[in-house]
Amino acid sequence: MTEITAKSIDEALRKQLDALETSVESREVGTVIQVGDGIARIDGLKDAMAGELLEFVSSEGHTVYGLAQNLEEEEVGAVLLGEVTTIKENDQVRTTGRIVEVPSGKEMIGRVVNPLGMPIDGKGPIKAEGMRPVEFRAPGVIERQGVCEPMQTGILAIDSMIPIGRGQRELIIGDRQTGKTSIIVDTIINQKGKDMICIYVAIGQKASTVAGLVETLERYGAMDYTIVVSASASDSAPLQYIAPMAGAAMGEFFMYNGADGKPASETNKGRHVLCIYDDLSKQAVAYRQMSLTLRRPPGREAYPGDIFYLHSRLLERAVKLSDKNGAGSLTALPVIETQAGDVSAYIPTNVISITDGQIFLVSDLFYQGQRPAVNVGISVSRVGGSAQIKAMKQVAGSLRLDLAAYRELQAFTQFGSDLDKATQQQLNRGARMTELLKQGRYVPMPVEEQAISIYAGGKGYLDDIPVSDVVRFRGELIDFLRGTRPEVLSAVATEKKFTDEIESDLNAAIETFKTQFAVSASE
Amino acid sequence: MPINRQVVKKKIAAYASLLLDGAFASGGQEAAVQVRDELEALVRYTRESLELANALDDKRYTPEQHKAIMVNVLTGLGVTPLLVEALAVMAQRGDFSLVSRVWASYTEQLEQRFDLNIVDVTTAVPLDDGLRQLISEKAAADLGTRVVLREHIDRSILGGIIMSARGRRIDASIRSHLEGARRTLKQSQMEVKASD
Amino acid sequence: MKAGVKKALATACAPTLAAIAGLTAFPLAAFANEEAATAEGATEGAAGISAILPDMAEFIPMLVCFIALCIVLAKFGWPMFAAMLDKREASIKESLERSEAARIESERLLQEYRQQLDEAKAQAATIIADAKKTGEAAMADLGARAQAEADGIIAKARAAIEAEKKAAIAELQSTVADTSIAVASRLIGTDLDDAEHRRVVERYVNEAGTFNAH
Repeated sequence: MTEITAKSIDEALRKQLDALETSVESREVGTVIQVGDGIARIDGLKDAMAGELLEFVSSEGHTVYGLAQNLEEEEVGAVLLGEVTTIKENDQVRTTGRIVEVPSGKEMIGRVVNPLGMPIDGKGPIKAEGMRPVEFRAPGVIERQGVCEPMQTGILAIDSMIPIGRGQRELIIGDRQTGKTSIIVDTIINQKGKDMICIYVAIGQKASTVAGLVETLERYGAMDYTIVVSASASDSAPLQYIAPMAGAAMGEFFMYNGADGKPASETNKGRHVLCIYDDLSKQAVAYRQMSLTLRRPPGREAYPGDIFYLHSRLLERAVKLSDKNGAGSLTALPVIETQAGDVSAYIPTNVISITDGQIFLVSDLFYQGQRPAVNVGISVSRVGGSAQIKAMKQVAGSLRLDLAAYRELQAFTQFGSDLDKATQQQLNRGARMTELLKQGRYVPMPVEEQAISIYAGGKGYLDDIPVSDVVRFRGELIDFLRGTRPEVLSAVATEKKFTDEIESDLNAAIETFKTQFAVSASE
Repeated sequence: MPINRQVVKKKIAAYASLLLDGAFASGGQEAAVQVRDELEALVRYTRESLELANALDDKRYTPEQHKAIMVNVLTGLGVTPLLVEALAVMAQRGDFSLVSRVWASYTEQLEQRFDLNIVDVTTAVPLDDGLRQLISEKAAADLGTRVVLREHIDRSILGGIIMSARGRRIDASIRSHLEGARRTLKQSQMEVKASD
Repeated sequence: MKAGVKKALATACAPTLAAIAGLTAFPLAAFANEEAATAEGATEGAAGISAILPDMAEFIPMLVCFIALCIVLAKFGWPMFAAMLDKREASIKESLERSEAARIESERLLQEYRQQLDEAKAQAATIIADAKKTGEAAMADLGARAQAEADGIIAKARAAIEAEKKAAIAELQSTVADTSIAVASRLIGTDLDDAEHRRVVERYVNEAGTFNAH
């Protein structure tokens, strides 16, 4: 335990004093010509690099950092990070010779930080293990390998039909109030004990929303492996712009370094990281604001021409590294908010084309009570299938077919009840399968339980259960199995597939359970 | 208005060389350097003074009115008549926004013509001859040309020296040293910035 | 059932009795004839034995009557009676059989019920056992979770205290740094004379890097 004594403070100060360097080198300086809207135009700085960190020194001696953005013939356009108002015309600007970096390391875990890595949760300073540049070149082809491990979200509808692999980029897209953030929170909660470090980047959200989210994560013990990077709506546009990159940089530290902090290698495995950018449409808006105030020419929807490059650069940093590079991974879950379900707007189409699939959330389903409101018809995952466990693959195929048939037939039910037996059977099954996909918040399911639930539905054990009882049946069945037949659960978990033996055991167990399942009184 | 970069550059060079010739004719190298200093002060002043910039930009004033504004402002500041004349012409022709580039071009031409470098030196106390000698020698060694020192006194830097030339600056002031020390001391566990 | 039989018997007997009643008319007439004869015999004196011997004249008609009766009875009465008996026998047999079947059935049912009861008992036992197992598992799980949670809370509280302390130290440290720098600035600003200032400048110029550094 740290003691607060004069001695400890004295020691700390002395240690810092030793590190004080007094050498004086010449540095390139420029002068602020004009400042406003968080943008500074600077005279001089002929050697500035694009994206370089600039040091503004105000007349009162405050230091403010900025990012060199526009390198023009006579001047440099820069965006200011932090205290914008302290900088005035004629203040000095120095180049630093490096691009923006954020602190990273194990101590960041469990903390809430701003995009520059400074703590904003009042839990004291963070001792960083190192600094990482916010802009980092994505690994090339040779350094990668295919996505091969699952990233379980714990959400039945997603893990079964839109599986996500570690190192994948899966877009979560939907209107406001369709449950995008709840999917993310559930996913983070489900990473408990799965050797995954989560980084939640909140961009342009209300600070109160972020605080609520942190509290939820804390309540479920998820902050033990989570870093929250918050650029709230009141932060300046440049901070919102670099927030996702800063989050990715913090994540890359864990991926490129082993648990001991040394660079990852074949023997020193890199860690697995899940990066969530919530949401990229707000980052695009912040970047648009920055670009317009920097007088860059506007393009479609007034976004600058390089907005696609901005997002592809960011999402390309999601990777599954090869074994030689430590086999770490960085999974990216970008979020895009659409307006009235319009996915053909500029930013949604861009990000859809960059990512390896998308999860569509639909307000209609949400209001019908189908939550999570995932539209499984148009949601896809292009690479996650290879990372799915075999048991899930075995049952998910039939689930997909059942639901597809159900959707096709659903239209007919509106024309009356003269349906043949087979059709009715299909509708019946579909209704139960759809019901089976409903799931509450903060209750992620382990993959074997998901597989068993879908198995029970696929084998028709739900067909004679009223639709309103399906969710209860699922829950009680799992409880029953956990309590009395844990061996079946563990067999599915270890074998990772349904063998004949497991199937017969499971069938017997489900039948036993059905005899004691009480259908709730119908109204 | 259509802007051709080369045309603008030529125009700036023309203004600068005109100014330089005039200054040189009136008082040699010393006067030329003096004009440079005044021009620099003026550039800094116009950056801070939004009113002046707006007035000179205002299309409702005639060019003659622009010129009159300029002359009035400059005579109040007490600058060299040559400079007043040149800037009044610029204001009249609506080119006043180029003044900072004219200054840069002027400095460049000045340094080229006399094969020298102008080193701005800021100290808390006036220099003595020994120090002047020392600084000139060091700067001349670094820059490879003759140097002309322009001395400024600024008590707020507390002590030490700030030298700048060719857009680079050596900040060996006690104020910046102390600021650096304070930042280092405060960082302690925070270590927010890495060493460069 | 008995009443039924009685009734059947009654209906069967009725015509027979009627017939007998018809026949009794003849002996009565015969006795009347005999009395008359006795009176004659006393007069004759030789009436002794012949009193008990049937008079042929009476006997023949009586025999004829008897035979006729027999024939009539054999012809009409007997089959009726036999049929009645047969019917009765069949009905008794049938009811006996029925009661036997019912007994067997009831025994089978009893057996079945017993078996079901046993099964139900066993099932109840397993359900109870299952429930117990579930309950125990849940309880153990709950206990473990509560324990873990409690540990977590304690650990978090410790970490929070530690963080607070660190924050306090950092704050204190920065205050100390600010103050000492402020004091140093004041001292340097006022205490150095021009000569000392120039010495500082000289040292700094000698130590400074070059303008050409990139």
